[in-house]
Order: sequence, then structure tokens, then C-alpha cells
Amino acid sequence: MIELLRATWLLFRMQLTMVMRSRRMLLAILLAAIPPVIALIVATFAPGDVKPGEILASISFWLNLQVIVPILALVAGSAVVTEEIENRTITYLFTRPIPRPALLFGRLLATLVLVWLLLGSSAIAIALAAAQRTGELPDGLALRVFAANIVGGTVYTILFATIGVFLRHPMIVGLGYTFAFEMAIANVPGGSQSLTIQYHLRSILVDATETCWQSAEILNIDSFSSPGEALGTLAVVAIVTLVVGALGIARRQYVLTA
Amino acid sequence: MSAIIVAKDVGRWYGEVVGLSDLSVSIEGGVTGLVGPNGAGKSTFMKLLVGEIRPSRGALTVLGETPFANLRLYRRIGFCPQQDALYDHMRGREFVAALVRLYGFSAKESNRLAIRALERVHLEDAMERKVGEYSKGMRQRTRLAQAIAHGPELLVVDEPLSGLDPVARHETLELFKELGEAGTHVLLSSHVLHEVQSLTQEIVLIHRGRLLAQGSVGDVRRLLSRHPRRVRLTVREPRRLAEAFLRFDHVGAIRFHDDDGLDVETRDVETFFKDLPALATELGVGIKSLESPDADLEAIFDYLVG
Amino acid sequence: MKATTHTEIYRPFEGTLSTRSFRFLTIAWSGIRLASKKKLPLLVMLGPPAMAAIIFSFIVYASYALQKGEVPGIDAGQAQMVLALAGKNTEVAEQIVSFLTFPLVRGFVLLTVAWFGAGMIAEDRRLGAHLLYFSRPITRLDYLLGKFLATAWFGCLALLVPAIAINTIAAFSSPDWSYVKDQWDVILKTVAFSAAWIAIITALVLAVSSLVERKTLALAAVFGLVFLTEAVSNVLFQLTHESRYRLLSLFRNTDRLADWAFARKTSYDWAPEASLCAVSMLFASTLFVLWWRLRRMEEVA
Repeated sequence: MIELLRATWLLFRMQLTMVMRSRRMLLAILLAAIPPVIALIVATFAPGDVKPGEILASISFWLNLQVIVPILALVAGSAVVTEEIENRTITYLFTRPIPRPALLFGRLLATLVLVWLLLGSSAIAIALAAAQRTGELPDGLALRVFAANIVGGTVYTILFATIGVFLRHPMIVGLGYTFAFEMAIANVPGGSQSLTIQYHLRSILVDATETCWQSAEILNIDSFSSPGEALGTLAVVAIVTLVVGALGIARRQYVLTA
Repeated sequence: MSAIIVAKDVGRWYGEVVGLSDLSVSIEGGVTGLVGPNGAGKSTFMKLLVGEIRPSRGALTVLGETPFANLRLYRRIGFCPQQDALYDHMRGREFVAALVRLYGFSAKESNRLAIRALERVHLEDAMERKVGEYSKGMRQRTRLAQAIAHGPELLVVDEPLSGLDPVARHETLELFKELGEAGTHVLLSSHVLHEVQSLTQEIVLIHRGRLLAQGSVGDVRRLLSRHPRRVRLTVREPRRLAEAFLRFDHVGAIRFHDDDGLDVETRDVETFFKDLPALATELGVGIKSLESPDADLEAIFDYLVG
Repeated sequence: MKATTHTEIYRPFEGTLSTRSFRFLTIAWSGIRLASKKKLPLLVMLGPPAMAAIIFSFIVYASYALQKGEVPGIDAGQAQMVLALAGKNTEVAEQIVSFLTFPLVRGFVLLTVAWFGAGMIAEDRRLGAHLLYFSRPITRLDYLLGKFLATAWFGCLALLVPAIAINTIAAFSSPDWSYVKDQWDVILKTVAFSAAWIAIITALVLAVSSLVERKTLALAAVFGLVFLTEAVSNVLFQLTHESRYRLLSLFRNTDRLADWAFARKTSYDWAPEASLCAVSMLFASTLFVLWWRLRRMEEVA
């Protein structure tokens, strides 16, 4: 266990410096910057009756949660293991006396720090941009946006990193999952919605009693579960996915090709 | 000496492609060359040895341990892979030190070991530069440095000489000799046969995933009795000597070349070399030079691989 | 060592050197062959548009047949169901434009072009194949046209071929070839609209492909870009109620242009010229990116 923690820490530090200097980081920064820029545009140019809460709610729901969070997590998460395989540097780590799951944990943790940093700042920046309008933000809305961003970033990143443990092209599978499976299932009325991560993230984000959500044109707004329940479900999903990923990386062989 | 690597009926295939097929081999300590043409299965065998992949069938032990995900074994071995892959954004010293730290050394100790290893591969002047700026030869030497830095008992090196200039090749071969003399077991693969031969006489020859020959170069050559051994002589009076050779049963063919050259094919090279001095003295033909061009690894390789 | 030369084994060249015209066709053909090696993705991606084409063809056929009262074995209930499937308007042009803008078809056409085009330039750059291309007498235009045609070929298989199939069914089903005689412009519009849509997404995919070094990254970037602009346009429209923001969406623009081209009643409140302008700007900027990247690639080579 101590070996695992030590190796995880060392790989976390190695990956953190790597990820900070990568092109993916640049792409991730650009992605995270889009919602605040849009919020600023809307806050400046929207008609007078648009309230700050509506701006924050709409942008968080339609743009952040459904597009930015999954794409950013996909860009960052799919690289966790796959980058080492594609660059053929995984050999160095797998021939060192470290438990193999440390590779997943260390690199994932570094990636998560980046994802939290970007999505967290993005959420804060959207709230600040929306607050430029006259009027007050509903109580707890900014916190909900922040929490949904962080939790969404975490769960999606873990999911895509784990897919990368098992599949050679996690990016393609992740795209299919995000834009085909989730977009289709999460927007179909009925119980099947709860099979998606989106549904639970929406449950954290949306408070149907707040007026700002009325104008966001969200379907089935009353069908969401409570934030606590959603958080619990997502925590279980994240832990199970992580365990599956750790078991997978401990057993899998990676045949490196030119 | 006991075997450090034991493979029994080891097979490894990638889908329908056979990497290794029923390979049974036992390798003793010291410096050993793993030779074979491209695609013979050398790299597959090395990947199995360092536990990067598992055999599809058969059993394999390295230093008495099963390699795959074996942390105890990884402390005792060093692996220099063939692929030109490094963390390009890191400095040479940082790269080696970061990998050495994973053996459990402190930051300070890792740094010291990394510097020492980089000095051994003559990269001390470039170790503060980014690896991405290195030439192909420097990258190869960096890979080697990370494999030797922690002082492994067994060093597994896949094509270590490719991409190196002649001076660096010489230095690298010298390094392997030093390591071998210091008690490190070295297994290196190459298809540049004369370089392997200049380092060691012990070879394992594989072809199409199968073991073709194993042992010292001389022993293997002796086993190839169906191929008569060629001996090239330069003598003052080649025709007189040729006439005398015809009396020997084991001499199969004689060819003249230039004015004083003579190629003799014999099926019993030991008897030939035993009788030759007496014969030359008796006839007074004056032997100027003597060589056996098909006794080297290259010729053995040609015979076996065809 | 005795020096020797071996010039005698080479026959001196006799004849004239000629360069083949339409060299881009060679590049396009090799691209198509290489991409077609894996049959499963081809099947998976072309399957849904093909199925949609079969359904729309059936509706077109059934519409004509019902008009003539020539569907043996079909009862009134089934006839009503077919008419319900066809919608209120049983015009062939309406069915064809519905097929061309059908979300499933549109999604799969984008997926097909992105899948086969994402690696066209990116993989060349990663593997250094562009160095080989540009060390031969191949111009930037040859290279671009070759890659463009190879990628567009798969787009045509996904969209143009099924659309033509529906037109063919309409032609054969219509009484006295009335479809060909009276509505020949629909056939031309189908070809023109499909070709334009394929050209735009092909240029987009290739432009993205020229910016990255991995097929998967290009694929993600294409989908990211399309979905991101879609989401941004939706949010901006929702909050500001200004329809000009919808011009950011590629899908909305093509819908608007389809409405205009096939004279369909539109639900959008902006002029088709605005969409035409937006789409042309996108196309021009992708071509600019491609030209700039190819110039860089050629300079390196």
C-alpha cells in the first residue's frame, strides 16, 4: 500500500509537469474559456429583462454541462493511459518496481487537478460575468454550478481514463458515448435517463423551484433526483470505474506499435 | 554457472501473427548476444523477459522469477527498449533521475545515480539539455543510462547499437564489456553480427520465432558439419601445398585465387589445423596468412538462416 | 580493397520523361483504397443512411402508387399509415429535402466524412508521408484535391448515392416519367445540395486534420467544433432571442438553405442569403487553413 501511494505521488508529480506543458493543456484552457466569454457577451448584449440567474443557468446547463465538461474531460481523461501507450513510454514505467495501478492513479490525479482548476475557474468566471447584469444571483446557484462542473469533470475524466485502459482509441468511444448515447438517452423522458451521467449532473445543477430555470426550456425538469442522491450515485460510479480501471491496468498487456 | 533465463516451450502470438513459437532456451550468466534477422522474434522475447507482455503459452523465468508485473524482479533488472521514445520535454538528467526514483531511492540519491549513469554513457555535457533536442545517438545513450543507473543484476538491451556513430558504438560495446566484467549479466539483441561477436562468443540465434542455435560461436560452427569449413591461406608455393592436401580424405575442394592464394574446404577442421604446421614445415611452402572466413557469426548466420 | 563499379548492370534510359496529368487522382484513389480496407466501419457508417434511404424511397414509391391506386394487397388502414409516414405533403421534393436534413442522416454523413477524413492529413504528418509526397512532382493543389476527393467520396456514398437512389425510385414510380419531366430541377437541386454539404464538411474535416497529428484528435476536434457551435448558438439565441446567433450553427444554416433551395416552408426568420454567407465564410476559412497548413508542410518537405 505504501509502495502504491509513493509511486502514485511520484507519477502524479511527473505527470503534472508534463500536462502543464502539453498542447492538450492549451486546448483545455481554450475550451474552459468559452463559457465565460459567452456569458460576458450575453451579459453585455442581452435584452434588459434577462436576469443574471437565467444567464448562469442557461449557460451552465446547455453549454457547460452538455458540451464543455464532457469534451474537456475527454481531451484530458483519454490521454491518461493512452498517451503513454501512443508515445511508447509506458515501457519505462511498467519495468519499474511500482504497482501498475499507480500509473493510472498518479496520472489521473494530475489530470484531475488540471480539470478541477479549469472547470472550477470556468464556473466562477461565468458567475462573475453573469453578475455584471443588474439583479442578484439566486442563492446557491453559483455553488451548484461549481459543484456540477467539478463533479462532472471528475466522473467523466475517470470514465474516459478507464476506457483508455481497455481500448486503444478511447477518444472515439468517448465521443460516441458523449454525443450519441448520453445525448440521446439523457433527453428521452422516462427512467432510462438515470442511466446517464448527465442526468445526475443535471440533478445537482437544477433546482426546479428557482425561477431562473423556467426560462431555460429544460424538458422533464421535475424528474430530476435530489442533489444528495445524485452525488451518491456519481460517487459510486466513479469509485467502481476507478476500481475496474485499476484491475484492468494491473492485468493488461500493451503491445506497442510503431 | 546456473541459468539466469529459462524458457520452456514459450510461444507468443499477436492475433494471427506468430512472435515466438515453442522457444525453449536456457541462458547462463555473462554477456550473451541474441541474434536473428529483423522480425525473428528478438524484441518479443525481450518484452517477455522484462514482463511487458505475457507468453501465450509455455513458461518463462528470469533470475528465478516469473517476469510479468513482478516488482521483485524489476528491482534486479534494467531494460533498454528499442523504440526511440523518451519524455522529450525533460532534461536528460531529470529523465533518468525520475525513473531511478521509482526504484525507491531518495531524490538526492536518484540524482547522483542519474549523473553517474549519464557519465558512463558519455552524456555528461548534454545532461542539462532537453531530451527532445538530442540527436538519435544521444537518445539511444539516454535510454541506456536509465537502464543501468540503478545497478541491475541483469541488463536487457534491445538493439543498443542502432543509431550510434562508430565512436559511440565502440564506447557502448566497451561499456557492456565493463559491465560484464563487473558481474552484470547482459543480454543484448542485434542483427549487426560482427558487433555482437566483438563483444561476446555466447549467442542465441532465433529465426521466425524459433531457436536456431545456441552456444559459443565456435561450438555452433562445429555442429554445422554438413557445411565444409573454408580455410583461406596465402602461401609462397600454393600448388605444392594443394597437391599435398589432396592426400587428406577430409579435404573436399581446393581453389586457387590471385597468385599465392588458396581456399581449402575441409570436413574436419580440427585435424586440418593439427596437420597443417607439420605439412608446411615438411614442404617448406611458407605460409604468409591463414584465416577461416566462414567461422564467424555472419557465416553461421547465413548457413542457418539460409 | 579493389574498387569496382557496377554501372554496366543498369540499362541507360531511353525514351522521354512524361508527367501524368490529374496526379491528384492517384492520391485520391490510394486514399480511398486505404480507407476502404476496413469494411466494418464502412458498413456501420453507411448502414443507417442506407436504411433511411430505403424508408424514404418506399414512401416516395407508395405515394405515387397510392395516387394511381396501384398497390395490390394494401388496405385502407395501411394506406393511411403510409400517408401518415409521408406526412401531410406527399410531394417528392418534400421527401427528398426531409431525407437530406434528417438528423440521423446528417449525423451519419458527418460521422462518415469525419471518420475517413480525420486521418487523411494528420496521419501523413505524423508518419512523415507528406515528405514523400512533396519530394515528388506533386503540387499543393494536387495533394489537396487528392485528399479532398478521397474524403468526399465517402460523403457521397453516405448522402449523394442514397439521395440519387430516392430520385431514381421517384422517376420510375411516377406516371409517364412525370417526375423527370416536371420536377427535373429537384434532381439537380438534390445533387447540388448534397455536393455542397459534402464539400463543406470535407473541407472542415481536412482543415482540422491538417492542424493536428492524430486521427483521433482530429475526430474529436471536428465533433467538438460542430457541437460546440451548435450549443453556443442555442444558448445565445435562447438568452438574447436574436436569431442572428443561430447563424453560428452549421446545421441550422444548412436547414435554412435546404428550405430555400427546395422551396420548403421555413421556420427560421432570417434570409437565406445570411446562411449562404455564413456557410461560405466557413468554407473559405477552412480552405485558407488548408492552404496555409499545406504550405507549411511543403516548406518542411
